Amino acid sequence: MHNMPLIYGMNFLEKSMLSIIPETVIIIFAFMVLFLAFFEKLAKRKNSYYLSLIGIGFSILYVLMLSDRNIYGFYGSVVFNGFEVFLFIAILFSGMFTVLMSKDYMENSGMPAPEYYSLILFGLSAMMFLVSSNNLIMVFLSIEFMSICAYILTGYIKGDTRSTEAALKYFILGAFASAFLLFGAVFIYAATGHLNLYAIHSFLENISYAGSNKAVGGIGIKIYISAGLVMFLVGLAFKMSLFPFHSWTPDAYDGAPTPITNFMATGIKLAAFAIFLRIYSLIYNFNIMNFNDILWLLAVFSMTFGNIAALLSSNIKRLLAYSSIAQAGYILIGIIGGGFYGYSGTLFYLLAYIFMTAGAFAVVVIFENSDIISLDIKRYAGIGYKYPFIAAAMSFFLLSFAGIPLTSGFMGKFYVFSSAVKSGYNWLVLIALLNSAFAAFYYIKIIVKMYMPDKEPASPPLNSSGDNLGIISGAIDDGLMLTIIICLILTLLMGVFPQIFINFANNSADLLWRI
Amino acid sequence: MEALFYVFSFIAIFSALMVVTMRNPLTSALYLVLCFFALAGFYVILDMQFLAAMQILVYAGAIMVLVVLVIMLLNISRIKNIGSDLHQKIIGGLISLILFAEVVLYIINGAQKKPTGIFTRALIKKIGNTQIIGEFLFTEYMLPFEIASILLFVAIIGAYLFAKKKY
Repeated sequence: MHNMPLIYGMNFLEKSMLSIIPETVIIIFAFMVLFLAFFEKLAKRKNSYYLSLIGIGFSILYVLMLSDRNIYGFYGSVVFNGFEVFLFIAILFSGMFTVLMSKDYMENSGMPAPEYYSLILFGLSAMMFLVSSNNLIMVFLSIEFMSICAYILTGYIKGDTRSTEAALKYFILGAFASAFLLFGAVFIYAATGHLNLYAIHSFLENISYAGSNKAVGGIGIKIYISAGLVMFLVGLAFKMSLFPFHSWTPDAYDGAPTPITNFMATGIKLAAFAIFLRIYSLIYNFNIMNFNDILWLLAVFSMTFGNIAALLSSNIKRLLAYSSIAQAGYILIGIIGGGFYGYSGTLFYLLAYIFMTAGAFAVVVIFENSDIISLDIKRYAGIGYKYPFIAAAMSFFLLSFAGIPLTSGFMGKFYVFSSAVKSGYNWLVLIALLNSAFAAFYYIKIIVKMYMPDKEPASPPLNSSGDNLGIISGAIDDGLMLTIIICLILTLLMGVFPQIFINFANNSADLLWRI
Repeated sequence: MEALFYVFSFIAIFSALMVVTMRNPLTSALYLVLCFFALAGFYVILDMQFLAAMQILVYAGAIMVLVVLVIMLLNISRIKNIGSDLHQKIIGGLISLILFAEVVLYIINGAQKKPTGIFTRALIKKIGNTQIIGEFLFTEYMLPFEIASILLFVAIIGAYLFAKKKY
């Protein structure tokens, strides 16, 4: 077996509880928020909003307190080490942005708040469980847990047919993907006889050392484990929204409440990539089949399809959805590139991706809330003059998506692509570079539109108050502003002084490496 | 034991065929219950009494009640043109072929030495099925068990939210 570092002087239960404390805090707060719904006086929107922010804050505090530990809890089915610290903080940030964005949105739409915020918190805990899980059962259960929260939140706008339709589509396709995932896990278990990822790793290591595969089970094991890994990949690729499994993405992103779209685009994608990274480094890496070729195809198709579809779409939420498919393709390049630099590059890109996406969605939420501008890109014409700060922030996030220097997107792309070149994937990087040049076109198109004078003479403000200049300055919620400012600062910092973040990513990738 | 195996196999295959070919959906559903009972019989033969009980409780009990309820709610009395759709025939045939190939593959590989766990059949017989499962649920798989319970709780919230007519 592998060497599990034992922490002496601590009994089993203490150690196990310590390994899941950040998740537990979030779950406790989720229940507290839910209990607010019992009391009519307390069930106001503000209370659950602040309570969930406090919960997320406490969880971040616990993650920082435990940041130098290396704990295996619950018979090795949960791990907590530097890899988790990095991802937990990223996930909690994504949850925090989602909560911050939701306040005004909830007030405008009149949806019941306690259930909404508690579902976000439950979803956050599920993502954290997923990232730290080290056991096939845990992986499956936490993916299901996370998805169920996402299905409910997608269909949260009652009476809106688009939202309901999106939830139904997402649910049916998601259930299908989960079936694939479970079947894959069963095949892997049947071939190796282990559920623990480290145990599967050492089992495969024994086989590959034995050479001719005759030692245990012969050719049968190879077939089963390949089938299992392919099906497992299908299930995870659905959550990562890679090309052939992306079809739910535009509809679900478009139909969901916009803060939840942010939650799906950042949190779920991050958690799925993180668990894929862990499983890839432990199991796929043995090259039982040429998995890198499959991933190569997935990455190329995701990038190309995502960019072409984004170019053709006129709705800002759909555009961001397609661009997130393309971004998933770029992130996958880091995993294909592999090795220490590939993994740390992937983590760095994921962190950068969270901040730029959350920022862009916060801007969309601002315009959606103020009712002046709909989701159609055409309506964005001229807002650069009316709302200079917000438009400038949006432009910066879009430039970061496109990968212009001085932004985090550039550093992330640079890091990921250089690791792929190091591993000899020159063609892949060439295609990716062409793609990002192509993608810059539609990102810059939006920026140009924002700074173009509003040609249409009579575009009346959608709300009746007439003066469309004054509305936004008074109505912008502090939470939204805070989100934009945090995202702006971090996107800039990661682009200009990336070294701190690279070190952070290196540390966590290092722990992934050391089994 | 072997005679029992053949009896259960016959019932399982016969009832599965009936599920597909019957015109009345309710009859199909009831044949499906019979099929589940036959499968539970297999589990008993394999000394998996707990699994057999669960199979009957969960599948034949809970899930089939749901299916029958849906059939009655939708009031489908009879399916008119069964099997006339070429599309369905091709897809169904393809999936059956794949599953059949899987079974053949499994039988071919069945003779090979496979990795086995520590719980051999004799040991299971000695300790008892339910005890082993219970012990595992409360030691090694305690956390997944707890997560499953919270997952179900969240699913209940979701069902409540979607079923509510108005906020």
